[in-house]
Amino acid sequence: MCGLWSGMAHWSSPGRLPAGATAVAPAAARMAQARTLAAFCARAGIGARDWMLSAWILEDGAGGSLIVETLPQVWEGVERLSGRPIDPLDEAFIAGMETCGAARR
Amino acid sequence: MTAAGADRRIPVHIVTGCLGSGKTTFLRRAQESGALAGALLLVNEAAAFGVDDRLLRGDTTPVALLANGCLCCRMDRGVKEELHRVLALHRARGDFDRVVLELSGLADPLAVIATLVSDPYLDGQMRIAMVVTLVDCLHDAQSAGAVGHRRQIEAADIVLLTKTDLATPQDTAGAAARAAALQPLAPCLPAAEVTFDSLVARADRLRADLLARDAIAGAGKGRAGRIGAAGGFECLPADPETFCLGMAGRLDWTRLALWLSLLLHRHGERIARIKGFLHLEGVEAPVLINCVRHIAYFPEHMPPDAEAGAASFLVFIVEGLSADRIARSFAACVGAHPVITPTARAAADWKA
Repeated sequence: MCGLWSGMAHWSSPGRLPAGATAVAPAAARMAQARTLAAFCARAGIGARDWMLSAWILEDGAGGSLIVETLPQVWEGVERLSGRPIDPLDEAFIAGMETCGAARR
Repeated sequence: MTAAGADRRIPVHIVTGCLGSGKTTFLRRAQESGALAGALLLVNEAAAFGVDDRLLRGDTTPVALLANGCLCCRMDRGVKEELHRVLALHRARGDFDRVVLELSGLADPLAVIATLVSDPYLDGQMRIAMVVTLVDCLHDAQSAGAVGHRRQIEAADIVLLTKTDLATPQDTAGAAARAAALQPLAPCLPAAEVTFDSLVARADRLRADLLARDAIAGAGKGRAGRIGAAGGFECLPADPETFCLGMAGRLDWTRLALWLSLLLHRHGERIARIKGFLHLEGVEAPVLINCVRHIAYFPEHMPPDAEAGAASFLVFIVEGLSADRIARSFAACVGAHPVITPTARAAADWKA
């Protein structure tokens, strides 16, 4: 539970989304963010899902999990669980995201 | 997220530069001209005695002193506490509506920016309106390469050249060229020709980097502004590590914020600056993005664009990261296909 109370505001958190940035409610925006985040984390073999619109649950395939609040904590958490950082400029990561995007379309 | 026009947070103007670069002289001149009326001047000194504070006191401008070393040494608690104290002072006295923060020559402006933007309370009450970096033309060649000096220039919204009357034209041109190579988005002008008032009046425009828009339009390709011996602007080859991504259509903020967050987290130490305007889905006004190293300022709404359908762009100043790889990663993660433009030129038409 402590993850719920001790976190700091982060520029990318949904509360900081531009007013009216989406035609949908904040909860729906959070869900959209969760889907994209899950796609990012899947590249490192880590599951990521929203918890109560206020935290992220990260899970590896071996039963390890973390609850974090902000995106920097997510990236650190993924590194801790998977043993390697997610690199957005890595060829395999880009290729994986391109495939995801193609599937979405 | 705040609209520029309705932002009621206290503007903070940061004045930084190496020891002896002329920060106090510049601020004294501002004070004598009355430009600091209504401002709280906060002086951060490494020395035990507040010399600058004494020089600057004796006017009606309220002055507070941050003694006991550099701000960066006390980043977590010191800066935070001082800025909270400033807010308390503002509530109690209410005799200032902006803050001018003179940093010690040894202080890292990024530490101050990070402290302010990462504290929800401070960030809700204060905003960094402008970072002015002073560069001593006489000694710049010796300071060049020092990490502290470099970070001061990287954080700059404007670079002011001091001691231009004592330095040779070659020294001045060299200092300007070095500053432009590190921070091509910041105009570089002789301090003697600039008044503090004029900087404050144009702070939003400086931050907004309107001229970077030219990069999208194709104007000023491969040019960066620097000051010539005669005081006019000349051009020098662009820093190969500066480029601009231009995107047509509106972007999905959710995806973009995730991508940008990951990029800054993973590669922040190689990102001197990311700055730009974005047009987002469902938002009329463009949003200003401003990142230094691992730090992102909170995004701000800018006044709506006059031209309909204006493109989004992000200017990158990076070290050893491939523009092409960044563009491909952006396309794969954000879903928009950027066009890479070599560089954005500095604000060559910017006159003090």
